[in-house]
Amino acid sequence: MWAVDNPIIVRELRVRMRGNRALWMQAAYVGVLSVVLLLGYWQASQRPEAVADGQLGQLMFAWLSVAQGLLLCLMVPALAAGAISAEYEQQTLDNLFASSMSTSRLFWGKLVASSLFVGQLLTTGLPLMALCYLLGGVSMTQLLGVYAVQVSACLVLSAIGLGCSLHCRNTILATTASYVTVIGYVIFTSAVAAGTAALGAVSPLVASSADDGGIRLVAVAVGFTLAIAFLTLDFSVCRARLLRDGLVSWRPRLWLAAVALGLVTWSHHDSASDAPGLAVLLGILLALLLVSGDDGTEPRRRVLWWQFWRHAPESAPLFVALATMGMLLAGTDVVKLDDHPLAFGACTLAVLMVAAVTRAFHTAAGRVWPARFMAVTAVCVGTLLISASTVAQELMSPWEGFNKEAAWAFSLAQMLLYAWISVVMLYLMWRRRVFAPR
Amino acid sequence: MLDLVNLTKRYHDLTAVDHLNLHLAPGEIFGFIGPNGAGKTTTIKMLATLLRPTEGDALVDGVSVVAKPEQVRSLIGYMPDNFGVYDDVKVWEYLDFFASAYRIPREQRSSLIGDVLALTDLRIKRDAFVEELSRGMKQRLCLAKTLLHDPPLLLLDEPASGLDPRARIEMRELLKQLRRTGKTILISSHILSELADFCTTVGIIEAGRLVASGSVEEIIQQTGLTRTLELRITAGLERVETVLREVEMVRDVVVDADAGTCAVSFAGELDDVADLLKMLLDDGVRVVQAMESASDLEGLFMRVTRGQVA
Repeated sequence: MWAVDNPIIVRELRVRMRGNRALWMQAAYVGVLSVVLLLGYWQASQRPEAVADGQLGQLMFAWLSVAQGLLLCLMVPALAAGAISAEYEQQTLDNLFASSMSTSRLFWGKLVASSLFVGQLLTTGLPLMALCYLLGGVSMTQLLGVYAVQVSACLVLSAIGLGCSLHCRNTILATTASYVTVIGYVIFTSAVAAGTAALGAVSPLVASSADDGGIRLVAVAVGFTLAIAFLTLDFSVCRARLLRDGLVSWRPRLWLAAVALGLVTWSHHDSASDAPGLAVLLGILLALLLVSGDDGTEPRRRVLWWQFWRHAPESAPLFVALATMGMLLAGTDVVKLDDHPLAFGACTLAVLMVAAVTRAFHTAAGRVWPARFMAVTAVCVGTLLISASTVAQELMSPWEGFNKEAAWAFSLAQMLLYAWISVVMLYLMWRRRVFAPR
Repeated sequence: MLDLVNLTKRYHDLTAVDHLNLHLAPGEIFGFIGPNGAGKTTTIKMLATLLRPTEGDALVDGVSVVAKPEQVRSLIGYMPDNFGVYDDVKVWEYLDFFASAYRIPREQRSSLIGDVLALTDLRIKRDAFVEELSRGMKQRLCLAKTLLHDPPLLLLDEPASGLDPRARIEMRELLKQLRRTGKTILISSHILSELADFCTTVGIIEAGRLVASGSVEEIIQQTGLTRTLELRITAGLERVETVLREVEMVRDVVVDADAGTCAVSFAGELDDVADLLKMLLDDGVRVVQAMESASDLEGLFMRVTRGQVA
């Protein structure tokens, strides 16, 4: 009900098809796809052996899916980039922000409203795709896979457009920023798809590589893409909550820490000996974490980018904790956390715990310098705990038959301890209105 | 209903609102007066949770705009100074949009929209597109929007700005109607005559500071300013100045012999006007009309403020 009874979605449903603009856009979309289909047919017909082998449908499908991906990359940012900035320009944003509508409901509505018309366009293109299916050589899995990846990619593109619209209060600027970001996203996903077999279908342009039997490939690509869409949207929601309510959110930092740990885990499993690659990954993650230190405590322009501790005291322990983990994982290669997956959970909670402790200290101290001192102490304790636990697990390894259970039990106990401390700290933070505006 | 406690807003070196303190009782109609750039809109935006105070707080029915802005939003109805409307929707769709935004149950919306349209005299325009409405109608539509969730406090920022005289009168009548519903209203306007006969109290803001607040009577007393009484006299005009000069409260007397009128500036209260008139009548001066100057609030405003902006 919360999702359906959203005034922004209802308004989009009422208004979108009024006037001729939407119809012209649909006509142009189908027209371009038809031309591409004809070009694909012409190109395929130049190769009689392909027609004989039943590859005609496959070739036309490849052309169509790439064209559709390109059209989406062109249209979706343009549709989404005005979501907030146009409200600002038309002076309707004040009325919206002064209403009781929550920020997450507002952004969810904007995302769905931007995506609804795109969904309509994708549906319009379906008969052309079905034609390729009828010609043979294209499986239903492949057809649905392309659509699944492209629909989820549309959510990412809409979320990018929304984010740019929130940051740039000028629609032209927001649209430009959206296109630049979308180009970066397409290049990134295409590179990932080319370099990583497991994420071969992640790019909206090469989604057709999800061949028959590639359900797993499609599922991974869709999951990955939806996660990016969610993170992008939630970053905007948190930013808007900061602007609108002055509420500092811990979520961006939590997502980044989760992504960081996820990538570290994946990288460690994928290529345990690839220390330089891991170091680069960690560097990127740490840089992201550094940038994420904007919690609105001070206007960003007044603080230099490298003074992350001035943005948010908890950024410092997170930074140091991740750096420590990086050194432990990549540098020494002593700790074999693959054997003890629960230890990853423990590490995640440890990082969160340190962040929570620091934030609580910061609130309790009320001044920056004591908080920094306590933060450093907390980081040292947290790091020592992590190191001690991993070393303890290593020490247990010589005992055959005892190693596995003991390590799991140790990790579990450690995780529970951290979880308990985190919960207590979060409760204290809530009690002391840490999340309330300052 | 509304308490402002040291409410302050600073933009770098500029202090737009400087430690504003105010208390509004339920049902009070407070007129916010000040020159352009004095900080009226900034104050109202802070109350509407659209701007965050640099310092201090404001409590709406005991709820802080700083700590719980999301709760405050359901307690206020905010009508901005410059606002836009979604042109591509119909009047009822526009109101339905905000009814949904204020989480009014779907089954109640239709009758509620009918009620606010009747109140704002827009029932005939229910199915018209918003872009077809005149400026005055759009203002009334925006006011209808602010009334949807029946907020106890209305924040109206220049509701009559940009309207022609007829639309302005219609808006004033509408606001008088709202006054009868018992809502607390904070209204800012630069057209002072609009507020004079409408507000129970007024506040004069200049350079971000509240220089005077209270009823017009109280402000006159607080500031030691005078009120102007205009008299129409048919006989004994030559004696008026002599008689009035002897009264301690009278500051100035200007006689217009051709028009048969006399303007008296005096620092008394309303009751003193009766004494003043009795004295004139006893002296054989035939006073046929006595009225306080209609532009009293304007005069008051001009004398209290010094033309400074924040």
